[in-house]
Amino acid sequence: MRLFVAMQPYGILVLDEKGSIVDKFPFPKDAKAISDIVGGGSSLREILRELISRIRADEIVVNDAALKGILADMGINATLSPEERVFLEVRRSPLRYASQLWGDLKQKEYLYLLNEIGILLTKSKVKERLSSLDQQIIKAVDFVDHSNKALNIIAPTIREWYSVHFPELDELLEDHYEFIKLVSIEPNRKKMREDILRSVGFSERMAEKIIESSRNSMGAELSDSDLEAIRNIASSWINLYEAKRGMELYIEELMRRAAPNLSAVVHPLVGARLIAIAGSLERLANLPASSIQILGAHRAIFMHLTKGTKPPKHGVIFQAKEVRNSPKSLRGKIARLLATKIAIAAKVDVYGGGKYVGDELRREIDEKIRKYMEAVRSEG
Amino acid sequence: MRVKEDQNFRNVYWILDGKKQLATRNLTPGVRAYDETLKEIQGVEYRIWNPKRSKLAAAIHNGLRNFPFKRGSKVLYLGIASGTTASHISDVIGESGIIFGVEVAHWVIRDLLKLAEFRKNIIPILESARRPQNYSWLVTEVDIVYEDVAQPDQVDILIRNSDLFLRSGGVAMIAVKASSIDVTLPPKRIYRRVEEEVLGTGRYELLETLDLSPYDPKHAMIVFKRR
Repeated sequence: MRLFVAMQPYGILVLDEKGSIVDKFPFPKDAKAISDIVGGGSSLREILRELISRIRADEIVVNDAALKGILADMGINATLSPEERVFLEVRRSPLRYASQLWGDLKQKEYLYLLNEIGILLTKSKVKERLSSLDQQIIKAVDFVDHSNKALNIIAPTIREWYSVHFPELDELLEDHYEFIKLVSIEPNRKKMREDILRSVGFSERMAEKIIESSRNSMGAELSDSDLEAIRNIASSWINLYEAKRGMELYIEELMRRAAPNLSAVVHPLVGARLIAIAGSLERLANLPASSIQILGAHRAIFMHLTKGTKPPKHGVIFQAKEVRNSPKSLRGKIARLLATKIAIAAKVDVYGGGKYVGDELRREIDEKIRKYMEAVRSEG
Repeated sequence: MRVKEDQNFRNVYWILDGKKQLATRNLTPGVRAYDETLKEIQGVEYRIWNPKRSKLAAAIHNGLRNFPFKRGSKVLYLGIASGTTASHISDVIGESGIIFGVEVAHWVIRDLLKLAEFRKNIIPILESARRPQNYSWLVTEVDIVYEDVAQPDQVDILIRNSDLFLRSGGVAMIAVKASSIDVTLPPKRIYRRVEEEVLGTGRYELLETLDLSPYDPKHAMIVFKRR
């Protein structure tokens, strides 16, 4: 016999071709219990196992993707086909079928229950997706950190190597990116022309300087194949650098979605690092501000506890411009202030149900920092 | 300031205050659904329904002839987003009506959750409208399928959902964004294609196609009836 297994908000129905109920399993008449069963899966599994053991069918048709999945796990092949006439009939008369499981039911009561189930299920799904979103962020932060390490190790090698050919450039261009970008475009110092340099992004003055020192360079002549070898690693370096930049922008975008409040309080990249160290956004939200303040200063805190050195004033939070750019005497204070606001922001992002207080927190931070600065100035 | 009900559509109002503004009667007086303007006239609170914010409002302004929403209507809303338009539909259909609101993006559904806490006739569903087999257990047969998803396969999504959930004689409305179906073709050609695709199933008839400019240039509201 061909049997139809229909999951509905009020329970699970087993129906025959004509739509008569062959077997049934009522859910408890409670939105929380229903959304737990439907959203969780494990009790749904038990219910299905029990129902299936009671019925005899040659073919089972289901109306829901989750049912099909669970049955497949149990080794039972079911067809997923919510468009079957029997299922249409069940959807057409929800109250008639529900009342067979729950007893008399009013339209309004049913509607309120659906509303509550929808809200509960959606909330738990939002939570699930957010936690997966912050796992993405953590992976991306990992990539940025490792790339930075690689870039910083390779850059001096490229500079040193290229200095054989054009040693003066090392002094002229301090920035790794500018230096290596130029090498990747035109490694031959004799071929450097103003238009090439301008296209790389140098100012007219800088371009003139570079050309002048390239003419008077004491560097060795290198063959085309030597220069090509250097150019190759320079290009690879630039590619990795650009991939890293792209990833940073991607993290910013993810952060604004997953943690809009946190992203308003500290730069999204700093926020992302905090999440990465804490392990997840939710774990960050559950940390006290005092821990957030020194997150990332593992070694220092360990030295403090074991060797009695001074406790650290800041960990990753030092990367926030408010801390980094402040006078040294204020950094600890500002780090503490930021940590308290970060703690609040993360809590709102996780538990605030979509609330946005980021701008307000931001204002409070700016206000306090202004006061700290004034106090320092008046003390002279 | 005067208010009068629309000549053809029950529970849709025009507030005459020098200019003509569309409005619905607030189902939850004192509570805003988004940042709309509230107006109290003779002890009744109305919510201004801005045609620049809502394609359904734009359609009414442009002379929509088929407005199937009434007290007690059951609606499947695909792409409900934060619920701007849905909140006005919620006003129109009242407490005995129901809106199943499907939205795939969890960051816009947060606002919808807030809305649903007050408006019990809205059922939020965080799923892709492409996979009705994930939510057909929760949704009942409906009188209206309303779709605003701006996806290249939006017509296919409409047909699949209407086939499953729309009652015979029910109305399927689709807000078509020409540029998300094909940017290379003129919008009129795309509207024609949408009509043909739905009519090609043999299960629907065309009620009207309405251009939504100037409120939403290159958008149209196309209305079908299920046989």
